[in-house]
Amino acid sequence: MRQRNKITIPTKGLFLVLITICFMLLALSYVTGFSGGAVQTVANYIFVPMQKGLNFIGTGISESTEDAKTKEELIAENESLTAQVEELTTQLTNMQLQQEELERLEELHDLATNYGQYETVGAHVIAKGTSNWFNTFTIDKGTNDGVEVDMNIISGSGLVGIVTEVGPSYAVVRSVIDDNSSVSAMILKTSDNCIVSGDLELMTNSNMIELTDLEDSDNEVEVGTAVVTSNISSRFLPGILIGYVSELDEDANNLTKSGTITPVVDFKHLQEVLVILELKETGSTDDGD
Amino acid sequence: MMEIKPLLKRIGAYILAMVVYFLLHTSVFPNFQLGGIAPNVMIILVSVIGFLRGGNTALLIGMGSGILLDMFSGTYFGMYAFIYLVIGFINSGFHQMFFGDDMKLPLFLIASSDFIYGLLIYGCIYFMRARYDFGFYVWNVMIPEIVYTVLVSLVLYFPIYYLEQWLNKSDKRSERKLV
Repeated sequence: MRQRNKITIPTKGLFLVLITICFMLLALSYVTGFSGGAVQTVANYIFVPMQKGLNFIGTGISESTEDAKTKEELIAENESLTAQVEELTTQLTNMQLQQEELERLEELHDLATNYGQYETVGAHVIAKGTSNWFNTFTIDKGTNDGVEVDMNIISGSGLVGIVTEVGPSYAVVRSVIDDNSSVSAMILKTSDNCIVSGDLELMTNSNMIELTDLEDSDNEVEVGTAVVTSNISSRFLPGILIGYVSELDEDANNLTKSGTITPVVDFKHLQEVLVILELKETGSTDDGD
Repeated sequence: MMEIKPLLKRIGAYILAMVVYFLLHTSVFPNFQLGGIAPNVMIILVSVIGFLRGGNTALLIGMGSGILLDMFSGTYFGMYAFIYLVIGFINSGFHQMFFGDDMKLPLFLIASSDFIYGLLIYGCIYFMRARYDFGFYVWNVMIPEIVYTVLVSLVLYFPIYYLEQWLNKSDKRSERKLV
């Protein structure tokens, strides 16, 4: 209770002012997509280098407990790996020949839309989400590397998520297993459309994501069928593998089906991802997903 | 007149604390998840400064930490600012009740803060999205997070506590010099 002569702002008054600012920020970000502006750029240069370093150390520690192998084990492993390399080299040469043939045939058929042909840039995951409630993470590539909001993120095996926020050298990705994520998808085999959406409850219980609104009148979709991003999606490029159907039931309306999908990506151990440097061109600005 | 130097020192120390705890929150502890759950390190900072220091500092630290998280979260910008501001405000109400050497009240306040945080996120976002299985979220997200956060706070409480003591001491020292 000393120094009462200071100019003091009442805490409750300041609380009300700050609450108002918070709501204004929320409204602003809702209307304009504002996400920090100049502060974001400053934060970028302060935090991203440190996060990179820390994450490197962190993963190092959590991995080093696992890879404490003895010398003998390493030698044995080395031998078997050398043998495998030889075997794989032979296979690779064969594959290359087949690939060339395939490319020639694809050219003939004008079928060159495989996602292997998108221009991509590799990125490291430098920070995992800010909360247990959301499945978002930060990668170390941003506008300086040509990354933009709504670009798709894949990892070796399939779709990981979409960029929702971008700074000069970082980007925030919302993964497809996030509770708020929803992707317009289709069944690879039959091209039937459906919606794939994340669900925290389902993810926690059984590591799966939800599939809804599938119209499958011919009953052709079975457990194990591949589900890919659809070509009518407004933000996702077509044909990226999301996962495989693991359960499917008819809805109460007898028209559509819903079930679950096992995603192909291992979201728990995500370290490197690829950013597809290409935005879906839709011609309209609606967000149909 | 207000002395500028101790004030700057205090602001600098708080910013440094926020940076360190933010990095722990986003880049260190997520590598040591238990059952898919990471501790909420930022809430320890906001809560502890809230009841140690109280007043406007608590609000500003809360809102600052929230904005920091908002920038790296990709959800609604301002959501964390709002939640952590509320947490800071609630904890500042316990400022008068706190007498240094007892660990029970800090742990209780950190646990309650984390629970309120969970309730706010559930109420503002999950409930609105028609996720009505409240019990599931309590048992599988909120409670594990609280337990882990309280465990971590057994260690992370002390840096803030000693920082606060050091700042108070150097405040008094500079007062004496003026007199």
